[in-house]
Amino acid sequence: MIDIQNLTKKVQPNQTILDNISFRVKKGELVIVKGVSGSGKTTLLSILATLDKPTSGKVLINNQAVHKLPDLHLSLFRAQHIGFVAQHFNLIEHLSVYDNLLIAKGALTNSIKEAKSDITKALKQANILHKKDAIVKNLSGGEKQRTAIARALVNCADILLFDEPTAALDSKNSQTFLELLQNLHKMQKTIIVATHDPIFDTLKAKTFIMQDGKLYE
Amino acid sequence: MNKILLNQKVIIYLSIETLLLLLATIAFFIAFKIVKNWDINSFTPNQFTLERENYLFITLVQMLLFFSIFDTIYFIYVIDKLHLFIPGAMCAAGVINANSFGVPLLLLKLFFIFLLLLWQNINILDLREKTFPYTKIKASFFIIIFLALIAIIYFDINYFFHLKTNLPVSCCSTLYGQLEGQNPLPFNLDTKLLLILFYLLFIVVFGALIGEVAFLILLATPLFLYIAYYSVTYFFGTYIYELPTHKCPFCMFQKEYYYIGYLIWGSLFLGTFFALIWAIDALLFKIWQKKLKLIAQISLFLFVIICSSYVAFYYFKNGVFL
Repeated sequence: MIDIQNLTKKVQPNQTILDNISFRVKKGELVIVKGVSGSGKTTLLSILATLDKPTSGKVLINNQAVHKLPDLHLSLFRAQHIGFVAQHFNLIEHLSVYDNLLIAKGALTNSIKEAKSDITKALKQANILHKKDAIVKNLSGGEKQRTAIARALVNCADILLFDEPTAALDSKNSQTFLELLQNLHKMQKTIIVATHDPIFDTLKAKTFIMQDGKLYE
Repeated sequence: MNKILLNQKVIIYLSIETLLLLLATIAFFIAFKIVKNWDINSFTPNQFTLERENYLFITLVQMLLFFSIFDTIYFIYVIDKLHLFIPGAMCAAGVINANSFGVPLLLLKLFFIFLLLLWQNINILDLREKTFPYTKIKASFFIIIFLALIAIIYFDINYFFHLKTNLPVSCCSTLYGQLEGQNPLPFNLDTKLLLILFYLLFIVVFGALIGEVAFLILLATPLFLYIAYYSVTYFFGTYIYELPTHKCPFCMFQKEYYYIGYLIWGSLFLGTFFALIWAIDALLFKIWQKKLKLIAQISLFLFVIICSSYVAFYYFKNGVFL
């Protein structure tokens, strides 16, 4: 479960990105955070992904105040519990799909056998197994996204965060992504999607609207 | 103007010291804030800022440790090279004893490294836990370390400002030579007893590390360090120089002796410091760190092997002891 209490993020003393946000997400819930560009969605997701720290407020993930953890523990927590698919995927372009996942998996295991098995499973779940040995820079936008999703799944993360997942996709690939998202939801993953794409209106999900750093249900 | 202060190596050394002081001053202000305001259970902007600054503080102190080790080695190198400018000095021994600030400065610098290593050890223990249990302790401890650095700077300035190029000094032959009727060794020991004590204490410290008897390590290690200093200066050193009358802890830092002094003294200090830190951890924090113990054991073993090998090689080469 994710419990956010009075979360504020300021980048300058006068520039508030997130303004006293509070909300809860239950285990296995699908949440859509909608809002225009610059409303603070990515910052919120970055804080939830433990990639950024708040200025004030509490972020409890599985009852753990994550931003209070020392870096070493935080990295481990992130690797174990959080899968983050960034807007531009943040893949290592000159490596293969498999190697991109291996790097993520390598954070938690030294066993090649275990890594291989989990990578294959994640690639299957993200429907990108057939491109296992392809170099990332040669993939299409949709394939890159599925690779990023597979990477998010490879450590069996229970929380998946998607930042503008359909921004770089055509309508066909966007539709495929929605199907994939529903499948992940069925797997009892807690999912938060930050988007401004109306395609998500068709999904049955808890929706929040983000405006000027404030969150409305 | 004191000519020594115009020496390139001294200028570099004093510049490094100034840089260290600058780093330490920034760390000191953060440490002070942490001591005053740290509350890990708080979710206020002030606490989050402190948590971010805590990482800056850690980085600064780690840099301080890293540079202090090199700075101390460089200090020994500088005073060794300065013997060319001080009348009567033939090695660093003459230069360090040229005024009353030199020896305390060197001892303080070594103690400073020990304190920083101890700090780093507490830092590792702190970050290993999920709740930063020792952050306030390590910040308070750094304030003491900062005071030690201020003392070093005080001695630095006085030492180099009072280093005269026109006043003759005594060097190792006088300083460490046996004056008539006087025994320079501690507890009125003779060389044979000194050596017995040296090897006995080594066995005690090494054995205590194997058996993990922290209290014994805490007692025996400083004594071993003390006895080892005299053993190297008054016994093993003569085999390094291959001259029974040459008793000096500093000449071995010179090129003629393949800079072996750095390895001998380095391994001794590393071994004793890590053994002490291991014992402090075990007694205060109830943590038994295997890595620390291993480093201490390897360093002390290396130190004893190097020292002993000089005697053994001399005997095999010449068929006699000095």
